[in-house]
Amino acid sequence: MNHSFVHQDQIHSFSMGLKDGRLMAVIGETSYGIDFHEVTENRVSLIIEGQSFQIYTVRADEAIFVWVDGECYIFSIPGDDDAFSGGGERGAESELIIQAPMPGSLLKINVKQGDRIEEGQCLAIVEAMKMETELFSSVNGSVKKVHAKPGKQVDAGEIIIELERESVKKG
Amino acid sequence: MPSSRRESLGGETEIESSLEKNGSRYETGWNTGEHERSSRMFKKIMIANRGEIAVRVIRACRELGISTVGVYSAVDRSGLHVQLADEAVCIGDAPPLDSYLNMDRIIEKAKAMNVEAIHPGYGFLAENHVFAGRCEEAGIVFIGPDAEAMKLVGDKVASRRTLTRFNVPIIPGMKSRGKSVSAFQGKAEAIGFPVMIKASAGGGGKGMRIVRDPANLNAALEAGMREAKSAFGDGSVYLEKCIERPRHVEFQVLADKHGNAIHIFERECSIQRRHQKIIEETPSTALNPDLREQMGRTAVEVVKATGYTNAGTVEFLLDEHMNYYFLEVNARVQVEHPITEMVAGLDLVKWQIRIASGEELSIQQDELNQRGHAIECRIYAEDPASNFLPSLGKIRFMKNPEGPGIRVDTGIYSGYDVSMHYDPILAKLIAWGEDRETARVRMAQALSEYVIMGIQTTIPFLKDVMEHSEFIEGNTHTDFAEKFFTGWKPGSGQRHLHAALIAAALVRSEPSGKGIMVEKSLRMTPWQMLGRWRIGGP
Repeated sequence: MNHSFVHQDQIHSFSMGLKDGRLMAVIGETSYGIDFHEVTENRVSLIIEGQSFQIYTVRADEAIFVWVDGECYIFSIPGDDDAFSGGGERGAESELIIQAPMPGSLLKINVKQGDRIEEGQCLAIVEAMKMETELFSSVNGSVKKVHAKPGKQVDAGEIIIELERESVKKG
Repeated sequence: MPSSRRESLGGETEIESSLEKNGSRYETGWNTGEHERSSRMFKKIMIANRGEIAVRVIRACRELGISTVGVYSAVDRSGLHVQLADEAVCIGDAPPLDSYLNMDRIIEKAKAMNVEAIHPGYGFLAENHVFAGRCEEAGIVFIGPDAEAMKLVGDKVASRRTLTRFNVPIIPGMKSRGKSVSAFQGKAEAIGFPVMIKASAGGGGKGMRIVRDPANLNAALEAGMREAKSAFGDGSVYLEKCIERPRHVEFQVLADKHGNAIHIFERECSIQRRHQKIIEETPSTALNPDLREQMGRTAVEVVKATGYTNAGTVEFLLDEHMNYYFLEVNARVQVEHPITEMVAGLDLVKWQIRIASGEELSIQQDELNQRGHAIECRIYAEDPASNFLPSLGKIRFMKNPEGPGIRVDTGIYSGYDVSMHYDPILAKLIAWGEDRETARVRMAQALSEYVIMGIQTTIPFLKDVMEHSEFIEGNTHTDFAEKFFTGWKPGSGQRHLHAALIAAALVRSEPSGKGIMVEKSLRMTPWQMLGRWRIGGP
């Protein structure tokens, strides 16, 4: 059977199945003989070609979390869920949308609609866990619209400010 | 392949296993009548805190045979401290001002539940002299210094003034606090840039800012005051000369109500991010026996000069020429108290309770010595690759590390939801070894065995610090993280990618609901929603 997983924006495809009564996986050029033992619902013991691994897993609807000897992997299924597999890839566009990086309270908005802004300028401050996080502009341009009000709670990903890129001037 | 990662199967019952772990096996047992309750000892204590420190205090109470009352805010109903306490009571909504900082409510509940003493933990009301005074008025013992001594040491400006009279070395800075931004301008010029803005009412890096350029003073003051107001309910700040490239060395002290005071050696807390400690160790690699004795003596002098009682910490900055300056007294049990417990072989939280109950210190200064070396790493719910931004959400699965010399103080468990409302500390991992190198290797290994899935944590960052040549050499200064770890990203760290892929395929093949846990109500975390953040593991 063929399997595909996305990890850090990369698709990994391989095949795994029984061969002569033995579980085998072929990943790239390498084939592995596998001894699999599920200990508890989150704990798996794998012996791959004689090398033993301590593994913990959590399976969620849109992702499989796998912890192997101190390394943590989060796999998603390709094409399964846009939001998860690095969705929102709006490229350069995403720089123009200033979102709350985490749920918290919006302490301060330093700009208003129409303001000119520069790269590196602090646009707003969000507070969570008693720590202030400053949101900076990564473009030169102006404020298209302010969507939120200071003092209010914001959710992760909530749009706070929309920016407009500076139009290219002719020299 | 590490050998100690093999462990018995089915040992994942967090509460049970960590209970065993945090027991008293590291104590040497001073003659304190451990098992016979002194007649004056409290029968019931309220712990006015949450998270790992509330759990820590509950365990100390249990060992002393004291019944416990846990308090919780509306979002903390499922906190580990609530589950462990004998009785638990809700004290209000999630925002700290409505719950863990709500003095009226806490005292009202304490009285209603016949609590004899309140342990404040650290943070929240721990260093609030008004609260200590309110407890006294209500006939409840506040486990800490009395209100007057706390007021003195808690007001960093007033304590500096007092201590100058006792020949305690002080950093040049403001002798009075200011509340308006304009009042600070002249002071800053007089002290000379760079200056440090500090919150009058607290520590933990909250409200703290370094200002190198006079043009940035106003903005930094504004932010510092706001942060101080939100963290401590008091927005006043003061200025201090910024000592460049110092080490942060603090001394643990214990003082009883009968005039006895001792120090229990130092803790080196130089590795910080955002002026907040993240790795602590003892002994400090910077001190020699003479300097240690001298600083320890100063620490005890500070305690006596201020009339301080109970457990406390005297903080010093140590410059490159081995000059030390008094920084402040932390009038509370410190986050990093376990490393002192490990090398000194005593239980500081139990001593806090005993001293508060009127017991006399039975330990003499010359009976104490430092045995071996201990390191603590703080595990925060933060993404170290994104400038330590908070990482919130559900811990889908976790497992604490084990092994010789390993201690974990934590308030989390599999399924626990990390809330935005409070400090992001998840756990403290402590490693003890016969010497520094043994402790360091144990710590590195324990970090590699620490399983926390579902949110980002500081674990991969801490692992890299443990392996950094400057840390191995003991060259730890407060600029360590900034100097060597700015822009830190987790290494490619995909040694086991193939094993992980095979495990994922096997787990996926299992029919849902059988064997492998499937979570239906999965919340989106910021990491999943925002494209520009990488979703990869540590």
